[in-house]
Amino acid sequence: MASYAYLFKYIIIGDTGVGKSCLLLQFTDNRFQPAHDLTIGVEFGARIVNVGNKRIKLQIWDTAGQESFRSITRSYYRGAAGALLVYDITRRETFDHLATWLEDARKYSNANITIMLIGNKCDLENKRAVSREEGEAFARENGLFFIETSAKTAANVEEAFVNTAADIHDKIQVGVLDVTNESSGIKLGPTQAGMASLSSGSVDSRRGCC
Amino acid sequence: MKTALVDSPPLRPVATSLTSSPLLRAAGIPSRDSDSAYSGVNPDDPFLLAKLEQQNASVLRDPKAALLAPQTFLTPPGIRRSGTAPSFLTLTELPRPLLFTPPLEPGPSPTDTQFWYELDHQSARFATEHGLNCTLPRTPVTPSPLGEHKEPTRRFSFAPADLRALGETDFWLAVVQNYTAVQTKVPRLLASRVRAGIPPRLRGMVWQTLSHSTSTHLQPLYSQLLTDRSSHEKIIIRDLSRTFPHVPVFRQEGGEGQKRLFNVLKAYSLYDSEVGYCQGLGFILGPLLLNMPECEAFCVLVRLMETYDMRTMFTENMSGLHLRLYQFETLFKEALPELTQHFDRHNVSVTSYASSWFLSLFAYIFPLNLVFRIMDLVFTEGAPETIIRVGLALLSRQQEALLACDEFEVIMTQLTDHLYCESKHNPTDIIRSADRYIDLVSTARLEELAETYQRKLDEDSSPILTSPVKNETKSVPCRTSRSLSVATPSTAEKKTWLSPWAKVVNAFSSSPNADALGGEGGQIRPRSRGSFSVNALRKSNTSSAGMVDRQRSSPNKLGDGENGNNGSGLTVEGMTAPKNRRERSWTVSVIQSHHTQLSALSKLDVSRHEEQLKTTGNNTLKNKNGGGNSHGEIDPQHVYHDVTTDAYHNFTPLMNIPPLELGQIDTDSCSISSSSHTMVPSATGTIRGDLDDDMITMHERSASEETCVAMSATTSTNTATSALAPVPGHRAFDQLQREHNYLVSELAVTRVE
Repeated sequence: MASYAYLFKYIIIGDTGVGKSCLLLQFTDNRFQPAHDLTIGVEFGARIVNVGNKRIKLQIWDTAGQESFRSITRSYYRGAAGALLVYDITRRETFDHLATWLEDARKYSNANITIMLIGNKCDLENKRAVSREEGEAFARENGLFFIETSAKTAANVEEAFVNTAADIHDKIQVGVLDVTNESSGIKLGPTQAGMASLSSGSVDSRRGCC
Repeated sequence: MKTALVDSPPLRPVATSLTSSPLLRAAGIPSRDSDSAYSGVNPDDPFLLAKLEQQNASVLRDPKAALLAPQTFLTPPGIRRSGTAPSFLTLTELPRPLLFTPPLEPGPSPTDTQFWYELDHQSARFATEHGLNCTLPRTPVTPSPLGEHKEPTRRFSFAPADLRALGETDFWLAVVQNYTAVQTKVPRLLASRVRAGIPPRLRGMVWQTLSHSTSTHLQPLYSQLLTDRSSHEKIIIRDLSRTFPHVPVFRQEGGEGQKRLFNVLKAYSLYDSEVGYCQGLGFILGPLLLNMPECEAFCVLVRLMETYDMRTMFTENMSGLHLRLYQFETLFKEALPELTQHFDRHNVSVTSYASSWFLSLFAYIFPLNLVFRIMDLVFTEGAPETIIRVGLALLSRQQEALLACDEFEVIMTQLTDHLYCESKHNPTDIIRSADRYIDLVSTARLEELAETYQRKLDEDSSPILTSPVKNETKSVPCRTSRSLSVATPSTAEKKTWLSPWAKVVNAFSSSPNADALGGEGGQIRPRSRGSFSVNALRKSNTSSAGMVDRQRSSPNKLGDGENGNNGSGLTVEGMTAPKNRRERSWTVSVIQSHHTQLSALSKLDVSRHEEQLKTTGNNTLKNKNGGGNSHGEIDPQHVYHDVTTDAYHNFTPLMNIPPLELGQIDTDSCSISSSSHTMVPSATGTIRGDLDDDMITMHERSASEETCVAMSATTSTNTATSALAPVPGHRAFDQLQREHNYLVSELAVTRVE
C-alpha cells in the first residue's frame, strides 16, 4: 500500500436508501451500481486523496440507515474525524430526519468532528423535493459544510470527500485536532511517523458548496 | 389505459380495465376484443360484478390460487383446480395490486414463472414419485394448491435398523413422516445426513418438518395478513431490489420473486409489530422462498425468529445481536487466539465483519449453495450455535491468509471478499470444519456466556446498549424488557438477579402516573407486540357474537380460577376494548422481565396458589404449572405465570393500570393454547414446556447434547423423548400470546366463511 501522510476515518450516515453505499462506491471505485445490496451492519471502503500536496488516506465506514441499526452505527462515531450526513433531495422525509442524525452525531462523536451535509441524487432535478437553499440553510444553522452530489453521475462526489478532508487537515494545522490521539479519528501515516509537528504547504481549501 | 377506455363501450369499464391492461399490451398480448377465448371474463355476463368479487375473495383467501390455471380462476372456491402450469397470460391477468403494489412493469418473464411454479409443486411431486403420497399437513382453512392432504400410501418402519437401511431420499421422507422418531432413534445418522446436505428437492419440506412450522397454525393467519396494510410497506418495497440483486429470480422488478419477498415481509411486519420490518430479514427469507411456497416460508420464518433465538437480533436496539457478537468474540478468542490478537492489533472489530453473518444467516455475503447447507444445520442444531461454529470455521480455514495481511484494509477485504470462494472451496468442507467447534460452542456454553454478558451489562452499563433505555422511554417497555430477557439468570442467581430494567420499573412504579413513561394521552403506548392482536380483535368485533357464544359454551377451554372471571368474559371485553388490551400487553411484558423479582415477592403467595389449584380443580391452571409440579413442593419459577398475576396485583395501585387484566390475558392465552383440540401434540408440548423454564432447558440441552454426542462420541444418550424445537422458556409468554392472536384470527376467518 502506498505511503500517505495521514489517515482520516470517516463515517457515512443518513436514512436508508439515500445513496450512502453508492456514494462510497462511486468514490472508491468510480462506478455506479443501481442494483446494490442494501447495507447490513457496516461496510468498509478506503481511498487515498490529495489535499494540497499531501496524500491522505480515507478510511470510510458506510453504515446501515435503518433505525434499528443505530446501536451498531453509534459505536462507529467515536473514532471518526469526519462524518458525511446524507439525505435524498427527492425524498422530503430524509431531510426532515437530519436533526435526529445530527443529534446522534453530536452525542457520540468527538467534539471536533467535521460534518459534511450531502444532498444526494441531484441528477433527479425533476423529482426534487428539497431545495438547495433549504439544505444550505440547515447546514448554516448547524455549522456543517454543504454540498449536493449525484452518486449516479459522480457530480461532486470527489469534492464531498476531499473538502471534508481539507477541513480536517486545517484543524490539524491549527492544532485543534491532536494527531497523537487516536480517538480523534486521525492517524499519522508511515511517512509521517515521528514527524508529527512538521507542518507543510498549502491545503486545497475549496469547500462549502459545489 | 386511456385508449382502452375510448375503444370500449362506456358501460363496461370493469371488464376493460381487467383485460386490457398496459401490461398485456406491453407484452404484445392481444386484448379481449380480439381474443375473447383468453380472458375468461364476459363483460355482458349479468353476474360479472359478483364473479369479480368472488374472484377477489378467492385470491384473498389463497393468494396462490392466482398462480393456477386461468380458466378455473372464476370458479367457486372448493372446486378442484387443474394443475397445469400457468402461462405468461395467467400471471398478467392477476389482480396483482391486491397483493403487491410496487410498479409492475415489465412483468415477470416466463422462465421465472416456471421456476416458481415448479418450486411450489416439487416437494409434493417428489414425495409422490417415491410412494409417499403426502404433503405436509395443512390446516383446512387454506386449501393446498396441491390438492387435499392424503394419507401416505407408504409407511416407514422406524426401527433403528430399518432407518439405517434406508437410502438417502427415503431417509428424508421418513424424517418428514415422523421426525421425532428419527431424531430419537438414530440421532447420529440424522446428524451425519444433515452434514451431507438435505436433497435440494426435499429441502423445503424437511426444513418445515425440522422447525415444526406446520404445527404453528400460522397458515390461515398468513392469508389474512396479506390483506392488511402495513406501515412498513414503503421501506420493504424500496429494499426489494436491493435484496439478492444477484439472484436472477429476485432480480426482476415486480417479478414473482420480489412479490413473494414483499408479501412475506409485509405479513411478518404485521405479525410481529415489535420487530416490524428490519433490514436483513429479506436475506433470511430469500433462501426459504427458494425452497418452499410463500405461505410455508412465512411459517418457517416465524419459527426461525421465535424458536431459534433470532428475533431479539431484530428488535429496536438489536440487543440480541450484541449478545451474539459478545459470545462470538469470546469463543473466537478461545478457538483462535493468534488470529484474535492479530485482529486486535489492527483494530478489526467483530461487529464490522460478523454482524451480517448473524443478521442474514450468512446469506448477505456468501453464495446460496453454502447458505442452504448452513441452514440445514441451523434447523437441526440451533441458529446461534451454527452461526458461531460456521463463523469460526470460516476464519480458521483462512487463518494463514489473514495472518499474512498486515494492513487493516487488506484484512477487511479478505474478510468480506475472500473468506469463501466458490471456485476454491466447497460447502461440505466448511460444514465439516464447523464440526470441530461443536464442543466449544455448545448451547450450555452460550447460555453461560449470556449470563456473563448480562452481568457485565448490569455492572458497567455500556453506554451503547443502555442509552436507548435512558432516553427513549416512549418506546422502551416491550422492547427493552424483551431484549434483556435474552439472558435468563442462572439458577444460583435467580434469587438476586435484577435486570437493569428493574431500576426503570422501580422508578416508574413509584411514579403516580403512567404518563411518566412518555405515553400519549394518558395511555402507555408500546409500539408493540400487542398491536397485531388489537387489529385482530377489532376485526373480530364486527361479527363476533356467534363465536363468542360458542367459546363460552366450551367449559374446559376458557376457565380461570384465579379471579373468578372466565376467559370468555375476557374475549368479549378484549374485543370491545382494544385499548385495554394494548395496556395489558405492555403490562405483561414489563412484568415478564421481572419474573424473578416478582417470584421472590410471590413466595408468600405460593401456598395460596396451591390452595386455589386444589379448590378450583381447574385443569388449565394445572397444565400451566407443568403437571405434577402444582402439587407437592412448588418452585416459584414453576408457578411463574400465576405468580406474576399476584405480583401484578401488588403492583397495580402503583402502576395505575386497571386491575385483573394480566390474569385474564394470561389465563386466556394459556387455556386456549393448551387445551384446544386443534393443537397437534407437539405444539401442545411446546407450550407446556414453555411455561417451565427448567423443563424446557432440559429439553433443549438434551436435544443438542444428543447431537453433539452423536457426532463426537461412540455412544449416544437418547434421553430426549420429545421433538421439541428449542424454545427457551423466557419467550414463553410471547408465543402464548401469538397463539392467542392466531386463535382469535382463526375465529374471525371461520366466521367469515
